[in-house]
Amino acid sequence: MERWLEKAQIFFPIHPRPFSKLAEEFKKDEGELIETLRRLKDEGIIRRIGAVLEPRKLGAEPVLLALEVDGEKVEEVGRETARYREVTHCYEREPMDSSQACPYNLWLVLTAEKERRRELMERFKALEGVKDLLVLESEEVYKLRAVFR
Amino acid sequence: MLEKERELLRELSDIPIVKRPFREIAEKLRVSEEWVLRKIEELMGSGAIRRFGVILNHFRAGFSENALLLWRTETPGELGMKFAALPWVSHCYRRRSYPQLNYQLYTMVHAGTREELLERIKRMREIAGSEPLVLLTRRCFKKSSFEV
Repeated sequence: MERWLEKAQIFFPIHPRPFSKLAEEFKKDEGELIETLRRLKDEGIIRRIGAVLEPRKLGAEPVLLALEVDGEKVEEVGRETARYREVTHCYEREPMDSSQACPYNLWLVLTAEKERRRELMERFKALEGVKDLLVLESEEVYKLRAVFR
Repeated sequence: MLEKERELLRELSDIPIVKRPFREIAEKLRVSEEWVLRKIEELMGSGAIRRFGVILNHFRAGFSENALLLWRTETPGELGMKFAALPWVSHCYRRRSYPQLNYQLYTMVHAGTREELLERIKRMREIAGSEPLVLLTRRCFKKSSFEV
């Protein structure tokens, strides 16, 4: 990845002309930088430019859920749970090594306030094919940095 | 939180790529550009905005390989700090464990190729002196950001 793009993940001037400031920093031309960023967004390499929020400061708490779902129901349950705005991530996962077994095959991140979390978890548990649901609260965060380099 | 602030946070999730993005947002919300800039600083100061910048689609940005590693350990703190120092680890958490899912430390590992991913997992295995449960993504039903 180009150095400037790596840096733009964590450096963004809160300024009336942020791209002009960024261009200055990266020794580029403002117009060209804007063009490049638009292209990268069109190509899907940049998802968005903006704020990453901290749910805990906004009244919501993210939890990781591990679901054990019948093999033939995974797709249905995955699509159904992913419909909710509060479900930010929904992945079907499997052990890399087939000698390792893990019955928990659907992994969700649910971010909501307590009552809503409880309500949605009850709903997910009741879905056909769901055999178990574990709430994996985080007890300590050693690192959270979805910045790529 | 004021309704205007909530509206601002929604607009800030995906700002327009134009010369004066904050002026455009201000016009839409019928507030001044200065108010927008001041509010962003405030929300960053309070921690409600954790980061501001370019958010990449890591899959398309060349980090197509990733794995969730679950570790069984009696010293999650010590091991967690060591893993956190590795640049390719994006998330490292101690989590509640269950008898049927008896792991205390969760790490998310990223790489550009499968070979690189295996190499990185091997490094971590050496650091831990134990075998993790390595879970690969089979299907992604959703990957989005928290919004207000």
